[in-house]
Amino acid sequence: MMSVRRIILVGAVALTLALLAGGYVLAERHVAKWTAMSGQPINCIACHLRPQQSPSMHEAGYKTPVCLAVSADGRRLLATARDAHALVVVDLGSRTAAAAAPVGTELDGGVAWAARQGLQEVPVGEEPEGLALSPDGKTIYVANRWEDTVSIIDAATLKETDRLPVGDDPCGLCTDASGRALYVANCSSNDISIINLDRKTEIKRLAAGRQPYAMELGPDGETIWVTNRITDRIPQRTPPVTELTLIDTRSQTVRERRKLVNAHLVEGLAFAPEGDLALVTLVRPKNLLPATQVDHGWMITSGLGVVETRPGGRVLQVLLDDVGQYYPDPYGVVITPDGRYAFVSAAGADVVHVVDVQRLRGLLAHASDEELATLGNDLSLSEQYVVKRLPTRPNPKGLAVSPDGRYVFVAERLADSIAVIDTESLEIVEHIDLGGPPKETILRRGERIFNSGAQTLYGQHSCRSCHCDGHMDALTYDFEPDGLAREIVDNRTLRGIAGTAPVKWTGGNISTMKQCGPRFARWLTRLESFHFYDLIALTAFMDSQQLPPNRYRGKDGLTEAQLHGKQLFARSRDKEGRPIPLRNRCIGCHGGPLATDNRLADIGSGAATDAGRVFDTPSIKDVYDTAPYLHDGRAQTLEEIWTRSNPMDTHGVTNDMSKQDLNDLIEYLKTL
Amino acid sequence: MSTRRKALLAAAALLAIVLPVAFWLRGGPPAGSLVFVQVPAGAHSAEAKQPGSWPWLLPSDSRLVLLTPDAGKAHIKVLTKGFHAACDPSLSPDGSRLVFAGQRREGDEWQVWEMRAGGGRARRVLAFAGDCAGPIYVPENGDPSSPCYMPDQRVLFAGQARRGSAEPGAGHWQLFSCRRDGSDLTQLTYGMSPTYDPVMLPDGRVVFATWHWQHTSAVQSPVSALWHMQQDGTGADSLCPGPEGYLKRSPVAAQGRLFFVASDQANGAGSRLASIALNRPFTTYEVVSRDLEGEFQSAYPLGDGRLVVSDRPPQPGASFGLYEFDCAQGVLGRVIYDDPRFDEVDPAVVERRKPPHGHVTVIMPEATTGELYCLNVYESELTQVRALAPDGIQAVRVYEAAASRQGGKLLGEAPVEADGSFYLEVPANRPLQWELLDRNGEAAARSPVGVWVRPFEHRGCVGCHAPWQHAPNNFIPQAITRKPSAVGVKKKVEIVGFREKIMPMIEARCATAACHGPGGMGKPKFGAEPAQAPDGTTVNQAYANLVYTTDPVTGWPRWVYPGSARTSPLLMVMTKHARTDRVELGEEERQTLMKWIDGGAHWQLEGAQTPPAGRKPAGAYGGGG
Repeated sequence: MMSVRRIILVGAVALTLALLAGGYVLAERHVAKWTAMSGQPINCIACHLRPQQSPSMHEAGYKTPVCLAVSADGRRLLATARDAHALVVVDLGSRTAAAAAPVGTELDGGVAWAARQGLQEVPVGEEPEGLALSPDGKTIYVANRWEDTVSIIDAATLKETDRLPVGDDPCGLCTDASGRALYVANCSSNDISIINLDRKTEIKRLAAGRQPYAMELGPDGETIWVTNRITDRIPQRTPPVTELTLIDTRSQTVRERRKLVNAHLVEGLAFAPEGDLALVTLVRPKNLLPATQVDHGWMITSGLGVVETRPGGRVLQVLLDDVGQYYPDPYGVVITPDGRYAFVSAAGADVVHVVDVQRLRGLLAHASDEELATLGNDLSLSEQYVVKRLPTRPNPKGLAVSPDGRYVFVAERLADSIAVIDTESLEIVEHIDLGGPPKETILRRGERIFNSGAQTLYGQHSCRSCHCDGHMDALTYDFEPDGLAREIVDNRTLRGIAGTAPVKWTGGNISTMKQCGPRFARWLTRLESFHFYDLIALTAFMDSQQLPPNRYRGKDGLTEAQLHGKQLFARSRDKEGRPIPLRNRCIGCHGGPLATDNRLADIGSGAATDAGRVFDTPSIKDVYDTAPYLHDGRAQTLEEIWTRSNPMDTHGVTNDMSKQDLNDLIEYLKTL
Repeated sequence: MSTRRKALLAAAALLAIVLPVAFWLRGGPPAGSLVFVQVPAGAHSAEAKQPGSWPWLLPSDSRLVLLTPDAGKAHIKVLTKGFHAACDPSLSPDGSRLVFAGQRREGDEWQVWEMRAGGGRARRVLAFAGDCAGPIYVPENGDPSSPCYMPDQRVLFAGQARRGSAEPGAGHWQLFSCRRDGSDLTQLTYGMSPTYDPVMLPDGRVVFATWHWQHTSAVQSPVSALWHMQQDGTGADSLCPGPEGYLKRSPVAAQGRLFFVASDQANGAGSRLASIALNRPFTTYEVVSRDLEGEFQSAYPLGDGRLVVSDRPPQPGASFGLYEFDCAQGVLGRVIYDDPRFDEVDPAVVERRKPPHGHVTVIMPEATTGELYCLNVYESELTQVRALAPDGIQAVRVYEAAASRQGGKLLGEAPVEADGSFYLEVPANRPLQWELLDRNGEAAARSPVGVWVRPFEHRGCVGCHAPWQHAPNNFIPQAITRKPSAVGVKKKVEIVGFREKIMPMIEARCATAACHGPGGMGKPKFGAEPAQAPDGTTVNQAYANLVYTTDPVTGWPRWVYPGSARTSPLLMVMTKHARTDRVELGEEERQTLMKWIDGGAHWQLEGAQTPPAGRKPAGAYGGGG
């Protein structure tokens, strides 16, 4: 009996060991398949449990300050906190008193601690970002991006008094000089809402460029300047052209549409006190060049637009980058009241540039027309006007200057703090902690990696430089491995990417981990690839990117046109009654909850410069927000997909459709 | 076995395991220790070095020693007992190991060795067929399909492969890299001149020193310049050319600057300590040792704005010693170590440093070609090129560079588009030179040095000698919308032999009784009588006079630069400096003459693939050692 038992025991141990060994080999293969990396730790929990269990930023208690403003009396600092869904109010006056008191008492956490720090949180809508004060300083306006509303807050009581609906994805906002009309930039619907504040109703919408973002009342007191983030609709493979929209507040009409050529992601805006100049932050992409190298600013350069405010004024683009060291993702800009310095945050480099405004003025004044076109490529020019670069905590974003010009505040977005810069010593004198959690969750780590240029050669760009807000930049790119000027690809949004693999237009990568791992390092960042656990965090963050709420799905169900479009989407016979094969019906590939079948398809869109004929079927959820379309961005509008790029009915049977049918189909597609 | 005995045995076994491990872990020297090389005094002085006796960087009877902090002179430890000579120590980023070049026995080849920083047994990293020098640790980035960054798992070194290898530049010092176990040996540089003293920058680039001809200098000899490239040999480019500091070597990076030893003499005499800002390499050359007399040999950063320098004071009979050096003030600080019997050189501090970035290679070793494209040739600092804008440049001509200053094998020609762009497919791992041709086919500019493209590298340039600070414009260059022009890749360039085509032409047009024929007044003489070439083959007098005559002053060919018709004096004389009695050549004849020279100025077609002997001008650098 003993021997049998022993045999069983030995057998069981041997079997377990064999299973473990076999399992290890299988696990190694599994990791190699999904990440294209070998020799990595086999840690099931790190990939399959931890990211999924990581709480959302809001649940984890992060604050994520983005935009800042200082009250007219200089006593209050206001910050929109994206993940706290709140307006954070820092009482600068009481902080001064607290700072004078002896320090060393232990933190008792929570409210008491916040009070001692002079902090107060005013709940607003989801994802607050834009922030403005009324001219009399009595009202605070906050744009709630994912709620499509503006919160109106009484500055005296710090209570939200009203929440008004506006357009899609409101970002920047400001009032006219009288304070009676509020202008709101709707980043997704590409227009500007004008709200009559007496009646608290939207009275007008003006067309902007694409993704209108920041907004300020100009120095003349009657023009509102609006920056737009991405390029106008341009012919395929031509330089990006981004609009500065100028609105006349008297007539409430667009006065001028000034164009910035070869620039985009214009997010910050400030005026010199003299009134002659506006400074805007901008990015100069090199998307038309083959991405064969990073050196010499070959991929992306970042800088400022120096804009004459007079009608039809000239625009000078200059870089804030330097040779061999780049400062990606410029975001905010403020100018001190004396007009001496501009402070510009470089969110991807964790730096605030101090810029001599007078030098910029001189450059613009003396630049010939030829120089206006070429100075924007000079990487050594910044030494002429960048006085100092101040290192900050991760991801410096919005800036505000105190009314007396003594301090500049910088929202350190991914550190949950606000840096205070002394404008005399040009040093950071304090970091105001907004009370975020001390522990870094996986998603937060991923977000920090996503927004940092540290993993690119010379720090030239971050993931965010092309995927602003996890979205896309409406540009097409020419990556190296396929040969020059071949296999042009449209930049795709990362919103809602989870579950839509394969990724990449050719479907070459079965997961985001494979996409962002070695391949990304080899062809894009040109440094060593992400550390394995950093890659897990980064892809977990990407997969957590949600689609914003769909604005075309009405509360009362589909409209008549949308219903008709839905029938066309699912139809199995054309107008002649001929059957349509399943794979050539809209619903055949773009059906299902993610609006993709996760397969490759030949829709006849392969160009002579493409190596293959089949492309990944993209998810078409929120498709209204992702122009241009098709793998190489050749279709500027949804309609062009069928009217120009589907002559043989290879991308669904659409040539029998009338203009009205196509309109209805598009109306339905927008609801997906 | 009794329990007690078992326990004793177990304890003994434990000790047997623990003690060696503990001994092994006891390991490294304390942080701040200094490793350096000692050479018998005088061996390193400039007088002992002759320009032709390259390389003088491998001193015999040298040894590696370790100086622990505050240990005083008496407590230095010789690390390379059992070596005939050793030099060039370089530490791993974690400060635990070091690689060096060493010679076990006298007369052995110098090889790359590795040992623990505190000393111990040395391990030969690889068996290299030739001498090695200047090894450094570089990151291993793994297989391209599955990169895994390990900051110190490769060794990059300068090696002088024995002559006879098929690789270009064999016989010269080139840079190589291999894994720490000696596998995956790869040649990285393919220039036609000695390349040495590699060092890693924190951003992952490799900076090295190399000889090249000083294009503009009146001095008719090569200069040593600093170059940079990626870890896989891609993107090689000049970082700090002349004319300041005729010789530059021993670079080290610290605080955004590159420090190096510079001298106006080829043998390094009177060397000073110079530096450039890495973000303004061409405009920030500065001699940081200022008015300090003496001679500098090498430096190592201390991380606080100071360097350890190897310096020889100006007093007669003084030896090299190690000193602190304050870069801001430009003054020597305290003596760290100086033994009058020895020259102390090549210091390295034992410390943990942030490892440099890696670089995932884009090279595909199986590829035989690479691609090279230029966005706009007119974006140039060369006035003669800018003056030809907007459409004066018609073509780019590509040569495989030759060891000499002139010549080289013509690989082919490609059009330059109206927007100034061109796009070439070129053989990989070959030193290439370019020539921009104007509408008349005349060379407007020629690149002075050979630059290589690695297999499957796609290399883009903003312009030809574009200002170094210019980022490219965002546009689609016309050239890349077409397939690249394959030069030297598929079809061979037509080669004209002197005997077959040129001599008949000369006899008919030039060698007349009145001019270059026998009894004529013209020089050179174009006789048909046999003559001896330097390599012993038989040519005729006309060929010998045209190809082998050298200028007594410069030592360069007097008439013909094989491989470069447009810069050959012969063509200049015939087409530019018109003389009244000049015989006018027809366009066809002129083209034939140019093809002959561009093709290598061969005597005859038979065996024309090998360059004619004697093409290397006298007085060229004695590269190759």
